[in-house]
Amino acid sequence: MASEPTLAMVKDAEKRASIDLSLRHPVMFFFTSGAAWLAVALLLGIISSVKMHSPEFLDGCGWLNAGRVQPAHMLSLIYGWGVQAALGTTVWLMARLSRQECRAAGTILLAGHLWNLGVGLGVLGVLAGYGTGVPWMEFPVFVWPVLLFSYILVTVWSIIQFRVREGGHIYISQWYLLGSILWFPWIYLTANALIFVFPGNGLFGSAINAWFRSGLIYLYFIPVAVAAAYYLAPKVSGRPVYSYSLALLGFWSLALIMPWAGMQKLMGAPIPVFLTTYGAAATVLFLIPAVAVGVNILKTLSFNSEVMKNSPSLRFTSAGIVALLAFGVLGLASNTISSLRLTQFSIANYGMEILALYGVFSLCIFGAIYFIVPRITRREWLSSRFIKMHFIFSVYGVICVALFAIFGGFQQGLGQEEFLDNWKNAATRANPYFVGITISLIFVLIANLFFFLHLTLMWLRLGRRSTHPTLLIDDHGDSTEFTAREQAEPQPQTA
Amino acid sequence: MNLKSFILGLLLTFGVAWTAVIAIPYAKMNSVEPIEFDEFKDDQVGVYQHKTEGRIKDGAIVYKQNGCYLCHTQVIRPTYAGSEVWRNDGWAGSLKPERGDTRRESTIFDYLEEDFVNIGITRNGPDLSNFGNRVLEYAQDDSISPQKWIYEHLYNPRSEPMMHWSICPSQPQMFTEKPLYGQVPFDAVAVSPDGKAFAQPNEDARALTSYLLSFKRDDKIPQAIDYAPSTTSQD
Repeated sequence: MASEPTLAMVKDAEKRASIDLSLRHPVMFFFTSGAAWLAVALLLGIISSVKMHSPEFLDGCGWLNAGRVQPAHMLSLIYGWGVQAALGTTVWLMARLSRQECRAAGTILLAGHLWNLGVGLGVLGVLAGYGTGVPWMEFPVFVWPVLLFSYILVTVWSIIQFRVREGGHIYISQWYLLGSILWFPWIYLTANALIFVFPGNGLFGSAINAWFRSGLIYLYFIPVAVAAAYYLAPKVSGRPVYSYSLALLGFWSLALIMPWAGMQKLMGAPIPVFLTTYGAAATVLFLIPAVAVGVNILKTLSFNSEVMKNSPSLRFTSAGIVALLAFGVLGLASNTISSLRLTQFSIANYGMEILALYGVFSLCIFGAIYFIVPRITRREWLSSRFIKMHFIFSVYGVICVALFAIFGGFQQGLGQEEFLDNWKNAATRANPYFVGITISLIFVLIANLFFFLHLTLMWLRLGRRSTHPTLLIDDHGDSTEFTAREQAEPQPQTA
Repeated sequence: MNLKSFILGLLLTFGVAWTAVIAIPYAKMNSVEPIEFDEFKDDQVGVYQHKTEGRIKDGAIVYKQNGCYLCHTQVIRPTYAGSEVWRNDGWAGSLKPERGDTRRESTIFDYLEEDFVNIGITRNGPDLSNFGNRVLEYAQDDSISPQKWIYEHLYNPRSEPMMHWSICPSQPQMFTEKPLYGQVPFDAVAVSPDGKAFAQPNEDARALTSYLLSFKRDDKIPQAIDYAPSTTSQD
């Protein structure tokens, strides 16, 4: 496939290299510190999960109290790993797609440190017993302005790059990136301002919080994951995106439906019933954007087994997209009126959250990281075996966590519905599933130890110096990803 | 589609939903209209007020800081959403002959004391809406004060034989170990085997206990908002 390079192709390659170079430090910082937070999050998750079936485990001190470790686990997963990985992907993708070098790498790096400081102090604060008790917003109150400020400091440059982009095209990935860049501060500011600064009715505060958690998943993490997938699938496979109309449908249905979701978590509480009904309906309808994106990406790849087998990026991305479809279907299954009464107050919620944050978001972002890091460090990944281990343990672990938690959740719900039975019957129903979750989380942790180690070696610039990318088959020579990389950008989908 | 219409589309799709599910309900629920008893239906007159007592503000802070909301809920849902209102173990209200059937769903008036209400995420533990009523019975069975019962439960949730299977975490940080001279204080929850030290609840435990004792959400409410289970339909 490799043809004689023309002058335009050389210039194009130079441009891309200079963009990568300009972003090297901030992007590597976001990815590496994010990966470290992910390992911390999983460790805290395992501790908290063990406590669910063996409450005497580490129960001697308040710092490791189950009620503090669980929020610390979710917070470090969301803000330590999730948002940082999303930010790294966003700034790189936006720069590449707008064909603009980053002129504010220092500021972004500084903001990244500020973000880490905020998250670090916040997690310590929660463990020390200064949590606010607002789910996913447990950080002591001084933390949220710091996080919002550093978020804006990082993303404002992406908006500027988009405004002065070359060529005038708007890629599909850019819709999702722009959406996520704007949705996050709106959701985050709304929730924090109306809960901490101008608290109104306390019960409605709880509803705002439920809306916030849903918004963070559907309007921040999933759009960034989809943006990465819409970039990688055509780029690595060398084929244009399957259907432009399907992409339009996927994006606008997401934008239209998902801001309504979330408050179904308060079904039956004394708030206006339309809020919970709309929330459940919107969560069920998420299947539309999920299927539109899923079909589009998988059709673009056409189940091209050769490329999928070779490319670490595509293997993770396609797994993430399959998880997106599963998440959509399970969202439907667990939010109808007859199933929501079972899942509303059960560990099925945790299963869905992990499926979204790890299954959909993280797998897609791992795909992006395996693509981006060799380009910005100008080194290739050291070991295809590490990548395979990361993939296998991740996928196996996350499937098991989701299955155990969701089935366990339904079991809990069925137990709770037996209103003439002793409470013990319902309370102990989920115990075996807690054991399963612990074991599955250990698999996910093992996966990420491989990942963190590998990424740290790359960050230390110890990657392979080679022109051949690390592929998942042994033959490093004649590879599809290699040739795809040498091509110009795929045919843009203009908007 | 150009950039302007794209941004406009984003603002519209998100803004409409934001206004409808956040801004307007937030403004409207900021002041909850009081409800009056109806002389004919309720047999009494005046404005309904949910009365609570105890250290609700600072107790709630301890409740939040130690993540109680992760496993305990504070809501009795209507029957379309869940069956807990029918439970006969005191979740939704008392079934004792001397008080009659006081079971009812939660109302908005049960929640007006707090700036942020933790209605809960999962029910790994029981609902607490009427824990303040239930604990009176537990304490009576053990012949101790309700406060003491809660202290012992916080110190070791598995100490009570009927709850040996509980997965509730113990809260050692809410107790202070002190040297023991003379008599064991009435609120001591544990004495060391050599008899030289004992554990006593600290301020956190006291505030939390007072807060938990305030959960008595089965008072009489106006018929207009009372969707209590009718005694006939259950049998």
